[in-house]
Amino acid sequence: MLNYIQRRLALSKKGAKDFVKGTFWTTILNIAIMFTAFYTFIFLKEYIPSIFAPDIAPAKGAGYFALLALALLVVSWIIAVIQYRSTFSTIYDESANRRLNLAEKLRKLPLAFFGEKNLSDLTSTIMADSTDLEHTFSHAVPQLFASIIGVILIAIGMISYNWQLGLALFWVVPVATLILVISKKKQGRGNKNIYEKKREVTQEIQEGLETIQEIKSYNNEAKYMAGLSKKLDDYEKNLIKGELLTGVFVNGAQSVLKLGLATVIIAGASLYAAGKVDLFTYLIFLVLGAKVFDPVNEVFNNLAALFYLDIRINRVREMENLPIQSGTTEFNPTNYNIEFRNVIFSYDNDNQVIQGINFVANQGEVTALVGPSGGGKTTAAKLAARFWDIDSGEILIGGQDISKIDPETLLKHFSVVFQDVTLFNASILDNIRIGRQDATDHQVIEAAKLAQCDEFVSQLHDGYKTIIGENGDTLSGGERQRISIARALLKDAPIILLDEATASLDVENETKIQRGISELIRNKTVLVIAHRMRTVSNADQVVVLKDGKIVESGRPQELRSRDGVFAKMVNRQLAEVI
Amino acid sequence: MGTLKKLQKYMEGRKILLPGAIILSAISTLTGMLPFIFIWLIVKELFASQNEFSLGLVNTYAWAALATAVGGVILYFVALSLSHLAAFRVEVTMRRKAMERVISMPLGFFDNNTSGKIRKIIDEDASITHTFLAHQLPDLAGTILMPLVSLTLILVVDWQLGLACLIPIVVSTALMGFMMGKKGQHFMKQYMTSLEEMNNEAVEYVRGIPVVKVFQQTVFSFKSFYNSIIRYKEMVSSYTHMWEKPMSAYTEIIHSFAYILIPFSILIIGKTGDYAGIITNLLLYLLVTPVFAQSIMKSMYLNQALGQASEAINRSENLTKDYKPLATSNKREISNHDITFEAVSFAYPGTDKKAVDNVSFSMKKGQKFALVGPSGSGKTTVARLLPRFREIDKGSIKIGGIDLNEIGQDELMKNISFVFQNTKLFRRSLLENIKYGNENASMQDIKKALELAQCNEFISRLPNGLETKIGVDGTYLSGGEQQRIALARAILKDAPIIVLDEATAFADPENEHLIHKALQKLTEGKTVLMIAHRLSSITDVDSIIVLNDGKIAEQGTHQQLLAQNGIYTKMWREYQKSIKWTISKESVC
Repeated sequence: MLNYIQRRLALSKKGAKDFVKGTFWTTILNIAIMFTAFYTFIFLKEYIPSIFAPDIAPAKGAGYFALLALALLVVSWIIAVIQYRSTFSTIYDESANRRLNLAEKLRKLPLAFFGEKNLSDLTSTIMADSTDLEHTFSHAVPQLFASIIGVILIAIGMISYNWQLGLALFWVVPVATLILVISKKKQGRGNKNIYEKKREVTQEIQEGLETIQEIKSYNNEAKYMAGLSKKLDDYEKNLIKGELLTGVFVNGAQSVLKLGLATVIIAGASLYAAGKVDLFTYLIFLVLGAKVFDPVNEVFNNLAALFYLDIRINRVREMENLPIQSGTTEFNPTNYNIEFRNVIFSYDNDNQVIQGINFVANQGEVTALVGPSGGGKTTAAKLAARFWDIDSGEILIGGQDISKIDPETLLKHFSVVFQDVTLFNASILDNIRIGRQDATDHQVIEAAKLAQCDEFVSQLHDGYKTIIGENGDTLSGGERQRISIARALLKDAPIILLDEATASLDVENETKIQRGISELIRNKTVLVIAHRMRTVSNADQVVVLKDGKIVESGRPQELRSRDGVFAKMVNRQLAEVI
Repeated sequence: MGTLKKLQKYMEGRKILLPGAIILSAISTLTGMLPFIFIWLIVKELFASQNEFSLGLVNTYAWAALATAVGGVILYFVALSLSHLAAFRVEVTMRRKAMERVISMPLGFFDNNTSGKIRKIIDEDASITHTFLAHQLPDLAGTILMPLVSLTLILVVDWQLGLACLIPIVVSTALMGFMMGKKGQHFMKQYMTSLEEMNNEAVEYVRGIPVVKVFQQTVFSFKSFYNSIIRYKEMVSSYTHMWEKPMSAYTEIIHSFAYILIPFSILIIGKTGDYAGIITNLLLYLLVTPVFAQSIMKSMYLNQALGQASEAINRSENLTKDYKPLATSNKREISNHDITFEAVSFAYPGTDKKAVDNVSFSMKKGQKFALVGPSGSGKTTVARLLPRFREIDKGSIKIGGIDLNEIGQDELMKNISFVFQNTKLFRRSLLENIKYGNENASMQDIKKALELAQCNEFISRLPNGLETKIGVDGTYLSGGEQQRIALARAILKDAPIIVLDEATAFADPENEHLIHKALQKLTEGKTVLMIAHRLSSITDVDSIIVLNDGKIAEQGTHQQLLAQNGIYTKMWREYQKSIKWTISKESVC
C-alpha cells in the first residue's frame, strides 16, 4: 500500500508515510466536524418529544449541552492542530527534497544532454510542477481522500441505522461517480486536443519571434498575424469545447447528488406517514441530506486540478527515470593515450552517427578530426570525454575503459574548449577560477594573461573584479572564448578537447586567441575538431571522418599527396583564402 | 479597479458576458439557498401536529427543494460558461495584441529581448488571467451576497438566535482578517519573491552544469540553488508554523455553530416554552450558517488571483513600453539607389557612449562598400541603421535623396535585402521558404535562384526535394545549407540594395566555398554595404570604411589604405599572420 502510494504519487518513502498520516488526520478531522451533527442529534432526541408534549420538560438542560459542547470543542481543537501539522508542515520538507533530488539528478545526466536547448525550459516547468504539487498535496489531495472515506463511513453508518432512508439518500453517489468515470475518458481526449492546439500557438509565436527579421524584411507582418490569428481562434474553439464538456459532466454529477435530498424527503415523508420511521430519524436524514455531499461537491470542483495532477506527476517521474551515468572513481591511468576501438554510436538508436571507428590519439601529440559537417567529428570528440555512452565498441584512456569510470572523475583529466561558453554572474576572477578552485589570484591572472584576457579586462571599470552579468551577457563572443581558454589553462589537464572554430570565432582577435591556444595545448593529448585545413598542416595525425566512418588517416603531408578527401579540402580552401 | 478595465479591453464583443456571469452567479447563490428554506417549511409542517401532516405539501416542498437545488447548479454552470467565454477571449486577444505590438517594433527591439523571454510573456502571462476572470470574478458576487442575505435571514427569522450566530461569525472573520492582513500580505510578497528566486537559481544551475561537471565545481551554482531551496522551505515552514493556532481556531469556529446555537436555544425555550418554533428555526440556522465559512474562504483567494492577473497584464503591456514603432511621414517612393549618411550619430538606449559618432559617407548606385574595424567599433551598428533597425539620434540617412523617415516601411523593405548571420528558416517546406522572398515567383525563377545560391546539389540529395519540410521528420539542414537557402530567398527578392554581414557562421570548408559563390551572385550589380571580417574578400570593393570607436578612421580602396600605413595596414598584417597559424605540439608563435 505504502509502496503503491509512493510510486503512484511520485513521493519519497518518508513523503508517502507523511501523506498517509496527513490523510488519516484529515479524515479524523472530518469526523470531528461531524461531531456537531451527533451533538445536534442528541439534542433532537432529547427535545423532539416535548414538541408534542410541552409539559414534559427534557431531562438535560442548557448546562449539560454547554459542557458537552465545550468538551467536543477541546477534542476537535486538538485534532485540528494535529491535522494542520501533519499536512502543512511535512509537505514542505517533501517538496524541498523533491527539488534537491532533481538538482542531484540533473547533475548526473550525460553531459551532452545539456547541449539540447529546451533543458532550462524543462527545468522551470518541473520547478513549477513542484510548487503546484506542493499546493495540491497540502490542500486538495488529503481532502479528497478524507472526503471519500468520510462519505463512505457516514453512508455505512446511516444505512445500517435505517436502510430504506439510507438507500434513498446515498443511491446518488455511485451514479455520480459513474458519470465522472465516463467523463474522465472523454475529457482525456478533449484535453489532448487543447494541449496540441496550445502547443501550435506557442510554436507559432516562438517561430514568429525567431524569424522576425525575415517577416519584416519581406513585408509579411500582416500575413503572419493572419496565420497566428487562425491558430488562436482554433485554440479558442477547442478550449470552449473542452471546458464545456468538463462543465456538463461535473455539473451533471453535482445535480445528481442533489437528487438524493429530494428522494430522501419524499421517501421519508411516506415512511413517516405510514409510521415506519419516527420523526427523529426522519429529521436526521433531512438535516444530513442537505449537507452530507458538500465535501464531495468541493472535490468535484477541484476535479480538473486533480486530473491534471497525473500530468505533473508523470513529468516529474519522467525526469527521475532519465538514464544517468555512473562508474568507479578509481582512475589512475599510466598514460593519456585515447583509443577508439570499433566505436558505434547513435543518438536515437536509428541513425548511426559513428559507424565503427578505430584510431589512437597519442599522448603529447595533436590529433585533428576533419571532414564535412555532419561527418561525425564533433560527436567523436565528445564521446572521448563520455558526453554520451556509446552503443558498442570501446573507448580507452591509458588502457582503461571510460564507460566504467565516473564521468566527473574522468573529466578531471580533460580541458574542454568549445564554442559555447557558460559564464556565471560573478567576477571575471571567479569565472576563471572555476578552472581550479584553489588557484591564487596571482595564478588566475597569469592564466588570464596567457589567454590574452588582460587587454579587455583592463578596460572594464573594476578590472578582474567586474561582475559580468547573467551568463556573462556583457561580454563579446571573443572575450568569452578567451575566458574559457584561461579556465582551461588554469586547469592544466592532460587531455585537451578543442573546437578549432573557437580560434576564429572572433575574427578581429583571432591572432590573440590563437596564441592562447598554442600555449594551452603544448605537450598534451590534443583532440581537435578542425575546420581550416591549413591550421592542421602541422598536426601529428589527421583523421578524416565522413558519414560516420574514417575515410583517411595519417600525417597531413602524407594525406595531401594522396589526392583523397583531405587533399581536396585543402586545395579548395587554398583557393578560397587570398 | 484598473485591472478589470484593462482586461475588458481584450474581451472584444464579449464584454457583456462578464456582468451577465456575475448576475447569474449571484442569482444561483440565492437559488442555492432556497432548498434550506423548503426544508425549514417541511420541518414546520411536521412539527405542527403529531402524526398529522399533509403528505402532498411535503412532497411539493421536496420537489421545490430539488428544483431550486438543481436550478442553482445549472445557473452557476451557465454563469461560469459565460465567464469562461470571456476569459478565453481575453487570453487569445492578449496574445494577439501583444504579438501585434511586438511585431511592429523596430528590429533593434529584438536585440535586447531574447525570443524565449518575449514568448514567455506573450504566451504564459495570457494564461495567468484565466483563474481570476473565469472563476473568481463570477464567484465574487456570491461571496458578497451570500453572507449578506443569510445574515438578514438569520436576524429576521429570529433575532435572538441571530445574535448568537454573530459570535462565531465575528470571531472567524476577525481571525481571517488577522491572517490576511498586513502580516499575511507581507508573507505573500516574501513567498512570491523567494519562489521566483528559487526558479531563477534553477535555470542558472542547469545552465552551469556543463561547467560544473567539466571542472568538478559543485560550489558555485549548486550551493546557491541549494540555499534558495532551503530558504524557501524554511520561510514557508515558519509561516505555516506561525499560522498553526489561528488557522486551526478558524477551522474549529466555522464548524461550531451548533455548539453555541443549541445551548442558546435551550435557554430561549426555557423562557418561552415554544419547542416547535425554536427547534424549527434552529434547524434552519444550522443549515444556513456554514455558507459563511465558504464565502470567507473564497474571498481569501480573490485578492491573490487579482494581483497575479494584474501583474500579468502589466508585464504584457509594458513589454514594448520603452520603444516606439517606426514613424514615417511622407511615404515617398524610392527611384534612385544612391545612399548617403550625413553626420549620423547613434547611442544605444541607456548608454551615453555613441556607438556611431558623426559618420558621413555616400555611395553611388551599384557601388560596393565594406565596413571594417575591431569588434565594438560600430560597423554592425552602422550597417543595421540603413534598414532602420534603430532610429538615429542625429544626422540623416538618405536613399536616392529621400530621408529614411519619409520612406514607407514597406517601400524601404522592398528595396533592401539584408543577409545577416542569424538567418532563420521557417518550419515549412523548402519551396515555401524560398518563395517567401517573392510570392509570385515562377518555378523557373525559383530554379534559377536555387542554382545561383548553390543549393541544387544538396536539394537533389533530399528524398522529397523542394517539398521537404524543415524541422519535421528529422530533416535538419546544416548551418551552411540553411544559409544558402536564405540566400536563394534573397536572390529571388532581387532588391537593389543589399546589406550584408559577410561572416559565415562557422561552416565546413566545402560549405564556405559555396556560400561565398552564392554571395557573389547575390550582390552582382547591386548597391552593397557589407560588414567584412576576412579582409581577403574585400580587396576589390569600391571603398573600405575603417571604423574605430564609432568614428570613421580611414576610408579608401584597399591599395590606398595600405599606402597610408594606418589602422588598416595593421589589421591587414594581423590577418596575414592569423591565416598562417597552425595547430601543433610545438608552439609556433
